[in-house]
Amino acid sequence: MPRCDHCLRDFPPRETVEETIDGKPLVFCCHGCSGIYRLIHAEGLDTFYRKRKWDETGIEISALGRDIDTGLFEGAVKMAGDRNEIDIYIDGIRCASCVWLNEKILSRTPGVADIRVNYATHRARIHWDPAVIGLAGILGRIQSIGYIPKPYSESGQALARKAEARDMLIRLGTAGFVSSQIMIYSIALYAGYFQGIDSGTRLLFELIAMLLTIPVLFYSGGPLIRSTLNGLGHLRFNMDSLIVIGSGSAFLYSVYAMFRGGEVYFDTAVMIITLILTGRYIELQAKGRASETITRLAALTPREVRLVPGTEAGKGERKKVPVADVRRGDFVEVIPGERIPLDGIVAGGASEADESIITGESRPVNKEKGSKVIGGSINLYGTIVFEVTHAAGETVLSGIIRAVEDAQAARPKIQAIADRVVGIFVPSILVIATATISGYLAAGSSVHHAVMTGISVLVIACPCSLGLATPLAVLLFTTMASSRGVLVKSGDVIERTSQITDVLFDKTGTLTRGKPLLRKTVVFDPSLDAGQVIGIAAALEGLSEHSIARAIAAGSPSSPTASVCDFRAVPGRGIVGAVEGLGVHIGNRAFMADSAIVVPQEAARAIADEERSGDTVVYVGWNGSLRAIMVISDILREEVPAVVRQVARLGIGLTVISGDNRRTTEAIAAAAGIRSAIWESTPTMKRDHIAGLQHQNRRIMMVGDGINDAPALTLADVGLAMGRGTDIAIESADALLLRNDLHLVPFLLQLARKTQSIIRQNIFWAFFYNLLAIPLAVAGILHPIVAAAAMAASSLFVVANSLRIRSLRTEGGG
Amino acid sequence: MEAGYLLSFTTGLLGGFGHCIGMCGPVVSSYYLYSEPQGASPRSTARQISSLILFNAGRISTYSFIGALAGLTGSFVNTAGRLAGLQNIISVIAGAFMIWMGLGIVGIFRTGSRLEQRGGLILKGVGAVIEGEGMWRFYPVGLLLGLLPCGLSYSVFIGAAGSGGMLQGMVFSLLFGLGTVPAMLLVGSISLVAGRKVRGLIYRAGGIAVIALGILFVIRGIRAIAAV
Repeated sequence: MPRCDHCLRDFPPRETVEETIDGKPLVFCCHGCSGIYRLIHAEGLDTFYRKRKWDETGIEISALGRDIDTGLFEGAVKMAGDRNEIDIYIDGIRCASCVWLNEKILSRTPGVADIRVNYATHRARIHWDPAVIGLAGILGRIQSIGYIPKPYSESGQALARKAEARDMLIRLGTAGFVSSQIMIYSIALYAGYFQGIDSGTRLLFELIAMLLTIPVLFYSGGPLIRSTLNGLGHLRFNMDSLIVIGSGSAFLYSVYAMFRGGEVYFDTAVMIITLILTGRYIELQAKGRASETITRLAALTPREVRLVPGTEAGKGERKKVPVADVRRGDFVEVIPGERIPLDGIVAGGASEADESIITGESRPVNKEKGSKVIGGSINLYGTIVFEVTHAAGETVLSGIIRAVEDAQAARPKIQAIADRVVGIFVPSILVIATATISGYLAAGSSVHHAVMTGISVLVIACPCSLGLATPLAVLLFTTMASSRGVLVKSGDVIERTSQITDVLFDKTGTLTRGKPLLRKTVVFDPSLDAGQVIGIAAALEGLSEHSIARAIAAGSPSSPTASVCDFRAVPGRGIVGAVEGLGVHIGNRAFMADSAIVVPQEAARAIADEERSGDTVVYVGWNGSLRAIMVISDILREEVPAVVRQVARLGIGLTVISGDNRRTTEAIAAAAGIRSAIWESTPTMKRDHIAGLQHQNRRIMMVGDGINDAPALTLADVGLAMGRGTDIAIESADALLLRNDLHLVPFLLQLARKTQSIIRQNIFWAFFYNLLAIPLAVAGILHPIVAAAAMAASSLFVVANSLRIRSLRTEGGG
Repeated sequence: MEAGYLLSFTTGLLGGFGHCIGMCGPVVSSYYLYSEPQGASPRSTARQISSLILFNAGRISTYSFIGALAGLTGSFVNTAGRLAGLQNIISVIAGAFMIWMGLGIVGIFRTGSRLEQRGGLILKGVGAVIEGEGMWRFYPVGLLLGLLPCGLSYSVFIGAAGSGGMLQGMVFSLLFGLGTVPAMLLVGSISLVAGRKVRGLIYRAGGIAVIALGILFVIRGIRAIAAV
């Protein structure tokens, strides 16, 4: 059967489409394939055919003929400046060449500003200028080269990662099982080495060990070999090349030694690979752990929603549609007990929602007409209909998911340094090994001796524990952090967090609860007590929507019983109404003056005191005299003073930075125990302040929650967002506090410092062993058995050392 | 011991045709080996053969590993027995066990036949591995299938324990594994040729080989004891 030159599918000969392109005769299984081939050829992208490595045939052409329903994608389009942005899933990506082809073809398309395809997840993020090209044009372009664009869903990525982890586990399992067998035979051989063994038996053992080594080397080590060969083409060396050269030379030397009668080191060859794969698997698990969190978050979104036809009042039949099909402006119904699928505004019905998973707020939140609902939260008691404001892919929840995903690819900088060192280390070792061989030859040693010494150098140089050094520590770090409620978006946060010199706290919503509360009621009328005043005020304020009114209404222990009539709100002043026949005025000082209510001298002094501490004072009066004042303030989180002490003990400077006025900011800073305060800062001023500090070589952690913190969170060395913060703040940050507990700040700082120092120690020991062993190997005095034992010891050290991360104890924060 | 090795190989050979084909064959052939698209090109035939070789290599390495471990354990027991004044006690015990198991295989009374039913977890693992890509995956498939509980292989492992040492045990079960290879290489085609009845007979012949091995071990052990 002929094989299609484009999709590599075998097909019946009678369907052949023959074509001659540039004098080359080619066969295709269909006109689709030949068309695509011609397109790729015309774009000058023939390299694709030379580079690709497909293990299976391409996508069925029948699937390609379909028109794309751009409607499915429109909900996912986001505005990014004057450009549009979309995330899509490209089906049919099999290899790095596919990624390359998609990026090449699309980036050459006019109007497309930028495209990045993630090989592992098959996700493409595209930026384009809508004035030049439409979405349909872009998707059509992808289709024209033989791939199917699909709306991006998180589950596809999770699947890919699972498959990768499974593949790695099988390779590792094989390596581990076979290595243990080889170790048994090797022990027999070592025993024979010391006690004497007859040559036939010895050869049998060696032969079996050799046969067992082959699958470990070529199957388990397959990915390492591939990566080495790829790197070799560009003369690039990485960890993989060292491992492959190390274990490969141990293997080749052992085969040679088997027939020459020397010692064999098949066990070394397989142990190197097994240890490295263990490291890789742990690394993958660490990523998987984080992605599990993502999957869990993604699973919060229902797949199907009940769409209400027409508008909110629509009584028409509810239609079940996939969540991806819901657009902005659609109306969706949610029954009690269901998850709210998307972000929106309630248009009808009333209920309460449990938003704890997203905001950390444990109490149910009231939902009525006009309230915002958050996708992923649970609708508790009543059926509601809401208008979708953020479709799938642009909700707060998906913002969190995307941010975490993006950051996962980033590796700790110290790992990058280690990789760079390896880049120099590998060629140096090759040079040293070659020099050793030539040196011994020049000194008149036998060829056998010279080669063996040279290979010992290679084998010993392999820094196996280096493969474990960082991943294991990062895994333990992320596990520890997420179990306490900090979602760290990437491994490189560890290093930056460990170097923090100053922590900047936003005030409202970060140091404070972000919700005004009735703190105090001062009564001037001796015939009244505070309870009575609150009861009267709450009855009146219960009718108002103002945030201060809510604070007062919430200040009453029971729901108001007093009857209210003639209620009227005066914007910017206060409210007035008749409570039990009394004409009650509640509002600011100007409102009192307007209503001919006199503020006595002693009351004015008390008021001045309260205002000095930055609180809002509300006046309550009737019948021409002031009866009481109520003090409303945004109160400090309880844990703040303790947290401030803990952070200060770490030698880190603290600052409050706020857009609020001087008095309020200073009052909060004083209550928190923070000496430095910056007030009246706009978002850009916050950012500039951080830039200024960074200029003085300070490393800044910014803790914030609002949109006004986003620029500062981005610029800070580490941006820490409160989990219930706005989505833009969450996207800008490096780590999220899933629980609104500031104890997590000192915890994260300490954990990062500890992890960082452990990573450093690990890398040091991994290389230290080599630095010690290589000269001995060059001198020809280090027996490879000893080297193998030392290698195992250094790996064990790395594991045991990393486990110390788990022993970190901090105060509070549960 | 040479007779023992020969018998072990024979057990494998007979057991392979009589038993392995029926047991492991379907697991392998149903997935990939013979479910290739019709009219496979020469390249995929080569792939099939390589896959089969890798599969068998995996199985045999598991066998010889277990054999080596059994031999090692057996040699410790033997050493302990010698301290207690008993020469080659393990050989007699293993021989007796093998006779018992062989009788079960031949069908004279019911014994270890239940063993075969307890492989769910292993088969689940095989299922996960076999869904992967590339022909190298058949090596771990073989490794796992080698662990499948099976009257014949277990008899041989007992024999390996009785063989006296790690090396002997390894060689003993290695030869058994090699014996099963001819049958396993023909998986798929031979199962069509030889009907269930014929296979049942061959399997019993394998049982007789196990009994013969058991007798051999008992005699060897007693002779050693008598020689003291």
